[in-house]
Amino acid sequence: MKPSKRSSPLLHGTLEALVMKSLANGPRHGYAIGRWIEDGTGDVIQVEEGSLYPALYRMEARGWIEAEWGQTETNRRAKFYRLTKEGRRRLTVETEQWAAFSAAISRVLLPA
Amino acid sequence: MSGLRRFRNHLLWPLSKVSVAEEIDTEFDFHIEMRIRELIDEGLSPEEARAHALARFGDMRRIKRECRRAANARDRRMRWLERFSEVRQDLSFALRSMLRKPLWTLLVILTLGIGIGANSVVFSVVDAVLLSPLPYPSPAQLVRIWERTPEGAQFSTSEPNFLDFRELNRTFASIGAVTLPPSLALLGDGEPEAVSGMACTASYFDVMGVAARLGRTFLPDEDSPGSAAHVVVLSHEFWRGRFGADPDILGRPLDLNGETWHVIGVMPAGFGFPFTAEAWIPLASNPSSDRNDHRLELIGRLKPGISIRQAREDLAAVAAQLGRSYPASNAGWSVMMQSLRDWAIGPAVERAALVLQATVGLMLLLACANVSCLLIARATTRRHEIGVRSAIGASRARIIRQLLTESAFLGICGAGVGLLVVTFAIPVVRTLGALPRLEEVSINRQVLLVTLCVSLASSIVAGLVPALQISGAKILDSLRDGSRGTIGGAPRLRDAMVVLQIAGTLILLVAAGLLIGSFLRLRGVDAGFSPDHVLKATFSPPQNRYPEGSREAVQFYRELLERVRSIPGVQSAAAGMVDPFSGYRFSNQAGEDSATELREFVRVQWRVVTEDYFRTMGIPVLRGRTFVESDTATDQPQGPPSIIVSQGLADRLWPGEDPVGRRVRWSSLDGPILTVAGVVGDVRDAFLDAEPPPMLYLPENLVGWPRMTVFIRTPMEAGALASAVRAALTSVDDELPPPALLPLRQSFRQATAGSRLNAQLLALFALIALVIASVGTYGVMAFSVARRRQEIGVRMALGAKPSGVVYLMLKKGLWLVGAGVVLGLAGTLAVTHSLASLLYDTPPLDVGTILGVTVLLVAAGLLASYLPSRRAAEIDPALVLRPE
Repeated sequence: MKPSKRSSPLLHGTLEALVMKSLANGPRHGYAIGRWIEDGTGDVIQVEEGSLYPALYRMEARGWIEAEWGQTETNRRAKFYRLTKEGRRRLTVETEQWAAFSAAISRVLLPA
Repeated sequence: MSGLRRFRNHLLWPLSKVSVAEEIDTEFDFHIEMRIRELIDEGLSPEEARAHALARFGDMRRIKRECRRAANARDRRMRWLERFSEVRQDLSFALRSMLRKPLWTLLVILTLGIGIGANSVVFSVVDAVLLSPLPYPSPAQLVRIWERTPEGAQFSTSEPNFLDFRELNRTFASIGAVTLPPSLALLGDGEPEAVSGMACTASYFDVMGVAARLGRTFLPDEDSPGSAAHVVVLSHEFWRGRFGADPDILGRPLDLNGETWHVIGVMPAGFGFPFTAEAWIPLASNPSSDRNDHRLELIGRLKPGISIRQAREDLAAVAAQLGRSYPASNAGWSVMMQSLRDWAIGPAVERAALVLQATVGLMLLLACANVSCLLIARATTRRHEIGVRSAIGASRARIIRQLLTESAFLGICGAGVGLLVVTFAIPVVRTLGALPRLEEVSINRQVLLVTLCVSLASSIVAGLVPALQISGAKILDSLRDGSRGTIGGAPRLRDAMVVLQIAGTLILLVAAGLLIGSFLRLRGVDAGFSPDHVLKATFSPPQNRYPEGSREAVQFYRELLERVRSIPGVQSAAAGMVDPFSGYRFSNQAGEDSATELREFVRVQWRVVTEDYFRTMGIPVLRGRTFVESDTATDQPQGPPSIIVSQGLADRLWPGEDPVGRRVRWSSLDGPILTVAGVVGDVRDAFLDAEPPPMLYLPENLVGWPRMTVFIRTPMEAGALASAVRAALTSVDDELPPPALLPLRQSFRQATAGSRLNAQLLALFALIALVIASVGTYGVMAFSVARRRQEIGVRMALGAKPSGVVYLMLKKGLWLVGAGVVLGLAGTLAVTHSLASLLYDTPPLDVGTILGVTVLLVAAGLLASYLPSRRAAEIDPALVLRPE
């Protein structure tokens, strides 16, 4: 989980919030989650497999997300993740915390 | 979102069917494949794309390891959740199935509840009386100390001996002494008020390790002879009850017996055991008082690390040294010791408590057996449901768990009922008074914990057998037409449970019968005096005005009795030194006047009594005469004083001879000479269950004892006489508190209270067991009749008479009861000897009792079998045999 040399470092806990956000509108498999984050951030954030998958399994263990086997459009078997009720609550909390955090940092770094 | 919709339409299968390693491999392979496809789309060759994708993925082994760890944690969590939801399912299922049969459920819960409740109540008593330590710091160091007579009897300690013990021992941190002081009357505005007092040394509070809650206890110089301070320490209860918990009580002067005393302290609540009092005053032990005068009760605190044996050896050495220094009083005397706890509780109490606990334990076991029967019966009617569940894939373990959850649920409900029983029973238990420390009984953490454990254990005991039984049944069998088949050995098991119940009940009935018989014998003991129509009142004029041995003390009772005798309705009145069964005894020794060695003396109980004592108490005069006025004249009579002896003492000293006119040497070889004027019957006025001791009665003018009990023979009730007695007292001395006037019968009741309580409780538990066993027998018989309806129908269709059918069914009942009785008798032989120490004049294998309860039990068992058997005879063959 060391930050990659090639990508912008992710703040601690941010990856989990992003993963949950990516699942807010429906189940996705791991690859799609990574792509969604990279696309959504305009490739500013590169999601490393070495961080993504352990995070996914940990979140599963905490009960924030759950997984089922499913079939993709290309008829491949893949593990699909889905946000649990607990995860949805968690996402709200983390979003609020992030908003407060980034506002606070902005007030200092970008004074009006 | 079309992908999502498609995803939803796909058949999903749970992750748990795949191993974690496989799961991770599949997921990562898929990821790399997707990446490769993307890179190929961007124009890379397949080989380049694969190499790139793998390089980008990073250290695959490390990532897999991390994922595996998290996945294992996830799976553990899932298993817990699953189990939790199963339990929830089981519980809601249990609740629903219980509500479907409310009466059955109620019966089970009540049966368990009564069993559990009785256990918890008895445990709360055992806990308070036996298990919880005395309410003092390091209670194991507290030791009760007595002197030991040359004959080996336990004796109170004399004041100089106490001081020497305290001074010369090397094993005690401290020794304290207490004694009953002369009575205390609190004078003031209203009527004089009796205060229960205790005199104790300053060291007593140190020994007990309890400081005053308010103010202080006695200072070391406040208990020195001559300068004993007029200071008093109050009990918390007295301070609250009499002085309204006045915070300014310290320093307040109190008029006790016409003298001014100052309150210096208030003890914390509950202080007092084992010597309770409302007020403590200093006990000034005089080193120059008579070493023959034994009246102090000693409690010592051992130094840390000292055993009671070391302390006994130490004090015995001191006693031996005193014996050499003061041979006239101390030769041959030694010491005895017992831990305070053992002394306060005593083996009889311990045995009684353990017997009760064993009794309720057995009763609970019977209740469990009964509930087990009910569960088996219930399970039998549910075979179909369980068969279906197992057919759709529930494992045997799962079904057992389901059934055990149900019985645990019942057990918890039973615990609730049990706690209700405890809540209502404990206030009653506290007032029983036949055991020490009962006021400490409460629903505490231990009691709650025991209740919970007992209820869970009993629901498992009751539920396991049926659960194993039913879950092991052949599924196909149970899915076939269910009503006629039977499950494996279930009927035989139920039969066994009933036999067990009958056997256990027989044991309890025998125990109860023995204790009841013992109580009745004890109550029927001829005490040698007749307590009916006798009222008693204990007076204790204060010693400052009525010193021991004084003419004032003699005169006080003489005048008092004269006035009481003149009350209309009083037939006779007399005073005696001992209030029967109050626990106070006085013993000394007496021998023939020709005796030359103390060995020839007989240890006797002695009493100071007034004229008319024997007539008032109804003690028969066997020879000679009782005291007459000339014996008790205040001016010294001529010649040796007259005494009366009991038949037992006369037989010891002059077997087969006429004792009247014989001379007796009192107390020691150079003691006074007394002449026997008469012989009276033996009495048991200390213990009902012990042989009457040799007794010697002294006329009151010889001793002038201040603390006496007045006995009044009258057909009147205590309430009707009370004011007249009070008036008589006031006319003699208006500074004395009015005494309580009580029927002498009541002392008898107190003397048999412990035996009565044992008998009552055992009878109650045995009765409950009898009901449980009868219900159990009835249930099994009814079940058996229902099961054999078909067969009975056929028999009747073929011409069997109803009486024959009844007999057929009854035979089974007889068999069950017979087997139970045989087993129960075997059990009785094995256990009743443990009751021996609780029984008075009753052998533990009392044939009459055993026969009696066996008949009772067989009758109950036959009745319980007869009722369902009769129903068998009412079966209509036409109805039964018609195809369904």
